[in-house]
Amino acid sequence: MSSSTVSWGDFLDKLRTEIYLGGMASEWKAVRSTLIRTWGDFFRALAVGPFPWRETGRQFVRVINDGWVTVVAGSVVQGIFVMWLAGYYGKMFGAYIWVGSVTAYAVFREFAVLMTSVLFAGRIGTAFTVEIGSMQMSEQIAAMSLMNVDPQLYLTVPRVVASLVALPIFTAFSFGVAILSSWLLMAFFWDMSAQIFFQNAFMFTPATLLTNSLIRAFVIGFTVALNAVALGFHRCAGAEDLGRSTTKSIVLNLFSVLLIDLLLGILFTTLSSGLRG
Amino acid sequence: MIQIRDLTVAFSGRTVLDHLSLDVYEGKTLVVLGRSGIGKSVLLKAVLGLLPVQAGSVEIDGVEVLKASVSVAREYRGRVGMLLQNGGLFDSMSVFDNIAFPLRYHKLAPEAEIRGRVEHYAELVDLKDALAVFPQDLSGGMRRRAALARAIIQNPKYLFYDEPSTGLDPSTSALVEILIRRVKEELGITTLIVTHDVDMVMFLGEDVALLSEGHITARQDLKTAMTPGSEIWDQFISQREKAHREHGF
Repeated sequence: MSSSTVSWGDFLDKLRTEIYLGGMASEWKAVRSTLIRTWGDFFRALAVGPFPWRETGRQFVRVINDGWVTVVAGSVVQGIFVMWLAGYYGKMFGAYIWVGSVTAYAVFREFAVLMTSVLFAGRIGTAFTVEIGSMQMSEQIAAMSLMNVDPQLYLTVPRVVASLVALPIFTAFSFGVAILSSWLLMAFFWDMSAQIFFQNAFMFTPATLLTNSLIRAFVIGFTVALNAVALGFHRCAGAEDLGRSTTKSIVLNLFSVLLIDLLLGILFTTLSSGLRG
Repeated sequence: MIQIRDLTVAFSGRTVLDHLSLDVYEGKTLVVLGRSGIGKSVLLKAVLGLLPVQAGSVEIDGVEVLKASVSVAREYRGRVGMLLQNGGLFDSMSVFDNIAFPLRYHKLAPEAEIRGRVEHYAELVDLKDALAVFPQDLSGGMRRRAALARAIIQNPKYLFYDEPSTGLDPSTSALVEILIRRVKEELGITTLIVTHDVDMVMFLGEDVALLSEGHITARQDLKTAMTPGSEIWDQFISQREKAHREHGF
């Protein structure tokens, strides 16, 4: 009985091991110092400049191109999922006319930003880690330094700035796709007219709900991209190191997404209820 | 001239370079010879600021770059080009864009002039027909040549080569050696090569230094170094025969 008891300390150790993928203190210290260094380098590079407009534009186009299909697919599934739950229980309690409201509220308040961020961390974040890690392995980053090109300015800044702009755009896009897909399903299964659905849909969704979600997407886009790039810069001597860095990147970013979403969600809710008195 | 004094580099508690001192004289080709894993690449990268240095000094044209401000160190290190072991070509760019990259990034010339210079250097390294190709479609030898063109397009005063023949077959290796010599003669670049390839030493070396146990244990001119009984001959070149003999072959 006592052997199966897990203490709070054991749980935290296990969690740390999961995030850093290795229980060795030296390994998680190395990851932590890489993250701190890259975050510092990002702001230093941004301050020193010049701002890499062209490369940032190129990365933005690339992020949008690489991510939109995943976001659309995720948003369709998300809209159907929320609508199905709301419709099923709404019908059970004779309140299915409010399905549009519930769906819109759930999507705007939480699901769009959370699902899009998770997909973004998986699709774009890991791509950044693998790309920069393999550039390091093939000495491309060393070559950059030899040509007096600051790798932080050329690689980190454009990816991070492109991501913090792209994720809110993806989130806004996800709102639309999720709401549209849930209405289509409502119309198909329960013959709900577009007029009733959309009239009710936006009845309880204030504009602040939308802006709060977009601010959360902005912060998450920034954090996910910077973590992913930082782990690309982490020691990478071979394929095994690259694999470990990539896994660290996705695990760390998923935790970051959940944590930022939770903390900012609480902050915005507290602020808005505080403002209302 | 590049003066390296008491350079010490260590990783995870292991000292790779231990108070290494070396002079690279202008206009000469110096070859640093040493076994695999002895720290030859570390030496070049430490001089160019790609690796942290624990102690010592590096003077390029009279300026101590390890303790200089970032901008001064960048200016003086900018006088040195380097051909990395893997080439370090950007795989998202064509050969043309790779060679043009430093000029475009630092806005050193208008686009028409960049085109002309890229074509000139591509011709010098026999790569004019492959300018539109991407690095993943190049052979090992072609990659080195493209990287060489990129290294020399900014007209460096010094050029470092990190194991330029590693992984190449003898004929491709010979072509790379010829190119290094051609670049040196046509552009007058002071050259520092690190290698374990004795054939390369014989073809390119003017001075030969031996790196062993973290520091330079011998330095001789090519003729002396290649004479049986010399320090470098005994400590490195004859080692293959000696190992064969010791194992009964």
